[in-house]
Amino acid sequence: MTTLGFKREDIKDTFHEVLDYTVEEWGDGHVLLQMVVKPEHRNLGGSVHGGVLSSLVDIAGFMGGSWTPNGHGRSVTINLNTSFIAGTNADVITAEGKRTHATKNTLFSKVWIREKDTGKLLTTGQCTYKLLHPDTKESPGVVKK
Amino acid sequence: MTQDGYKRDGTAGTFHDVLDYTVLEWEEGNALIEMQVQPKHRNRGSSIHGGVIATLIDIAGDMAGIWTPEGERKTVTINLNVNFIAGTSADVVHARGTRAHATRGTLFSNAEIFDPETGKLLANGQGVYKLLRPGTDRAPGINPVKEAK
Repeated sequence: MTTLGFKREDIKDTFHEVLDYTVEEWGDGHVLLQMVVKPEHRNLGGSVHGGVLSSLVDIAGFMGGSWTPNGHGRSVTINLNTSFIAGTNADVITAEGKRTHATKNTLFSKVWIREKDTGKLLTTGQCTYKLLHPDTKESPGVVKK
Repeated sequence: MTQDGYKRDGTAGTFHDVLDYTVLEWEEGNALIEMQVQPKHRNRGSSIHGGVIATLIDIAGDMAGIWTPEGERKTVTINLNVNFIAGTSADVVHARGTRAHATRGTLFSNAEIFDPETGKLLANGQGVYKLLRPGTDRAPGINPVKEAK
């Protein structure tokens, strides 16, 4: 298990920075992320935007299944299914990702998003990823300009 | 190539600002939005992040069902299913939402993300939304006491 409460180094200047989450736990088949909710993460009604929750599901699902002692692999998301169970005005939420199953090329994960203080379940998600070859630099479909 | 669109009212300071999309078409049962892909929308492989695609599906599907001649209805998303079909290095993407069905309290929409230059389909998805009663000013689960702080 890696150390607690850190920001990932490899995500500078990407969409991950918009979410600005920290990694609390990250081990084989399991991850726990924490996000402080800022105004820019909210929607018109003051709740956390569904897109933010979907993004956390995407990230936690991947991280939950991708940890290895030698670092984590690369992937592209194939499918994401998110159920929004309850709204919240909590200031801190957590996302727990767990690997359901992985083959050589495919990873299946489940994610639970909760209020940090009360543990109230806000969102569940189920995701499928294509695992890329470790040497892959660009995602499929991306042409270097 | 971008088209002349407009920004939605009331989205300033929310997550909608992060996506920075413009509206090209918006009428009953149909919405077309355009997003310029910025570095903050990409992932480590410089493709568009899955979370951004999922958000566009959420917004386009929602917009397709909330337009009324009297103004926008309010909703909360209940379920979102997104299929990521192809990666892209396009600088502009379009998201089209269409209403599949709506009851008094529930909206079902389909949405597609595509590259407007080639027409290539990048992602599609389905959203289910709870239509809130007109006059509701905050999303369910939001505690008004805390808001007053």
